[in-house]
Amino acid sequence: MILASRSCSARTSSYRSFTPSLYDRVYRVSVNLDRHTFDRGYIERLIQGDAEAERHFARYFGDLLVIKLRARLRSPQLIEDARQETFVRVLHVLRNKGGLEYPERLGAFVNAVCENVLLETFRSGSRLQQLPEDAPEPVDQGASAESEFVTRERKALVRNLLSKLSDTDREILRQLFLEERDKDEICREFRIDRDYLRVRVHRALARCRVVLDKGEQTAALTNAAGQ
Amino acid sequence: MDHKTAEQNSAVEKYLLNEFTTGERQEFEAHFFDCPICADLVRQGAISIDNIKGVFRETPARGAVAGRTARPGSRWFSWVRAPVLVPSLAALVLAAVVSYQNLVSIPRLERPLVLSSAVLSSVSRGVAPVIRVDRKQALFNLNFEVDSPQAYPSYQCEFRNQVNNIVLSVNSGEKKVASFTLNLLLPAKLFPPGAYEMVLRPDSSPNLELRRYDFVIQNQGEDH
Repeated sequence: MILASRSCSARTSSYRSFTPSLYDRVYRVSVNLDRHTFDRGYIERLIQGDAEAERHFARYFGDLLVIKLRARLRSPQLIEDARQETFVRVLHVLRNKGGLEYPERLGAFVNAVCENVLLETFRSGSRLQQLPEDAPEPVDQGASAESEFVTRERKALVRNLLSKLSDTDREILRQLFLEERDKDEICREFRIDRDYLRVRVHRALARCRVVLDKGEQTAALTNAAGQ
Repeated sequence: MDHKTAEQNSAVEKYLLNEFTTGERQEFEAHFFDCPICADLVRQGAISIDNIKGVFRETPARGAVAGRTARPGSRWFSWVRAPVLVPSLAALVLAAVVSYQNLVSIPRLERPLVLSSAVLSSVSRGVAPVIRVDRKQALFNLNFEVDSPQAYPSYQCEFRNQVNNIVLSVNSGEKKVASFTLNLLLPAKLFPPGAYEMVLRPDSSPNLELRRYDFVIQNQGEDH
């Protein structure tokens, strides 16, 4: 399916593709990305095509856009198209309008542009329809359709963490995330309410975060030492 | 939505667990695209969940049955083995269920049903109201007047019989209001004649009781 906006091929060809590098994808170091505030200087560097600024922009918002888009679009190709189109449009507006009135609201602007791209995708009458509000997450097409967030290194860290959880917590996570079982049924089986289910998920994800952060910092240091 | 509200409402978990309505999801997305703390939590949460799924895909589910080799036996009884018997019995049970559904359940569901307009109130003095159920219908309706002390996103209706066993638990669906009429269609077979009560609780606080409704079920056409 070709997005209507792709008819502006001349415009899109002037921008490099915003695909994170292999290093970024395998050894993404979250500490460099997080807690970033956007100011006029950052916007200026984007407008001027500063490579480092563009790389940061793509990394920071790329993940957030994928997370947002995959809840609404089925096809990985559509998700990638929408992500790229959002980047292209944001930069086009920044460069043609000379920036944003409130640079610190760059995130809100990216989100708003993405919403427009999504609306256009749905309106263009794609074969791949919008997911209904309460639809379960789209089913993976196979083992090869693993998310770009999954790496061998991260799985090893998570596998180790999961082995340390109680059988109950592990089974809850399996039924919730892999089997996508109805949450009320999970609550009934394990005799917990929805709030407590959320608390258990929060604790598991918090432990995952710590483990993945530590693992990635170690990997980055190892890589830096090796260079 | 501001960051404090997002934190207090466990917005990150609700978002990652797909528990938001469309409006709530858009509101939270507008927030975390601007809030580096929530953006970090959402990003790391999504990475964690994807990798958890990846690990579980590689791990056999609990209760997976290892392959068994068939014991050598006579040809006459060679089919009497679990790998043959179990699927055969399952097929027979399935055939029986489908037949019952096609011949009994679906015809009952397709009959037109006149819904009662009577509303049960939680204030009950004297005799509990009598609800007459047509046993030729699969479902009957009950309407409850709900007046909660405060609005909750959704409610749980717990139906108990006269020996205090829970016969049915029903979720009201998204309400977000305190006062409303709750219209329910209930399976008749779960409510044989007798005294019942419905206990209304907030979905988020299953130990909190908001209201109780007493009623008596009788078969239509019978006098008590």
